[in-house]
Amino acid sequence: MPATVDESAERWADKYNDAANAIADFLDENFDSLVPEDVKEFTKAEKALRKLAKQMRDEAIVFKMEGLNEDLKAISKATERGTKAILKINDVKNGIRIVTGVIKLGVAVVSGNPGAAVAAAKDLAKDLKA
Amino acid sequence: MKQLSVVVLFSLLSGCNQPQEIATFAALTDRATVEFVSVAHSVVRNCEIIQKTNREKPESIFVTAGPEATANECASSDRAEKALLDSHKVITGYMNTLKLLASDNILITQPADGAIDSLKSGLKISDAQVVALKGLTNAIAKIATDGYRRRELAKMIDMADAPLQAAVTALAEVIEVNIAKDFDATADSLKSYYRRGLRGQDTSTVASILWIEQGEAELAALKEKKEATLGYCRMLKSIAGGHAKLKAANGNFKSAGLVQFLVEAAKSIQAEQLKVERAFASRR
Repeated sequence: MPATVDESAERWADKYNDAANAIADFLDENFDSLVPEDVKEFTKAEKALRKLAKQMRDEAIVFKMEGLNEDLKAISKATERGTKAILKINDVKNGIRIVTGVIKLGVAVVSGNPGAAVAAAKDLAKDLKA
Repeated sequence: MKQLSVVVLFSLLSGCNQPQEIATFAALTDRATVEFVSVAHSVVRNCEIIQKTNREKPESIFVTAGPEATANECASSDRAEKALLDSHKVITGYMNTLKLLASDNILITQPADGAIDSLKSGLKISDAQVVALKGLTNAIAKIATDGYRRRELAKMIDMADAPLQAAVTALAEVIEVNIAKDFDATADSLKSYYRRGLRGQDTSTVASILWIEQGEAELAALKEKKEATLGYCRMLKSIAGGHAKLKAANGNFKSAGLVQFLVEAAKSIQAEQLKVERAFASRR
């Protein structure tokens, strides 16, 4: 199975970082025998490799996050649904309608009328579903 | 008869459990995930460290000053940070909605008084009966609204669980692989910088010892941030685990097993959140 862009970028970043570390080790081990110009060139190469490795790691993150988009769309839809539900509860007109139904039910219950209580409970259930 | 009707009706209606446990879990999750801003910004901060250690030239340990990294040198890190925050924002937005929908604060109580008063004349009931009715209707309204919320919560949780699990898995992988490696590579860059400063120097001098200590302190701070970042990853997994349990509850949010699980998940989330806060609070 071919590697994805983000996997490739991450792998190359690892290789560049390993190469930079190898140069740093080489400089430590051979510092006394190297001329200053060579030290300068190797140091420059090490820094360039680290910078490139960092950029590749960043790109790998961007690619991976872009791949998440489809899942995130589904979560956004669920959030939208939840928000609508909250708005429905907070909607005063709708709230009054529900509470009115609740009051009718309460009145039916305290008046000791089981038939009216059942009817009011049905109406309330219908309202809550709406 | 009246009393019996009330008792029977209340018994039936109170079968609707309040989703308060979910509100608590979601609120904690919502608060804890705020720490992701620090985790995401570490990508940029690490770039600044690499750029700084690249630009400064410690030919000797006495030369430490150098130009700071400019913003455009970390443009790729800025993009990565933005991509991370944008993706994460969807999860926190969802958790916030979950918290609001499960919260008792959205209970309808305001319209109740007005509605009762407007019905008072039509129903021809006394003031004393109005007072009694208000208490009863508020209680019934609460239970009725809870039923509505529970149904909506169950639907939303069911709809969001699979993509949430996938999103958390992907984010956790980015944290465990990409961001963890980013910390390791930044540590490599720091180590190299401090080694460069010591090349050709007498390592027994006070200046050298201080230089080594400074390097060790910076590396320790970086390690602490990496550990906290991995802790954030564990926290994300606890959140996903809690959500999966909520889905499995299928609307029965008061089951003892679920409540116990959410309590344990909340403890774990809080513990990791503290570690992340502590690690990123310092400006080291």
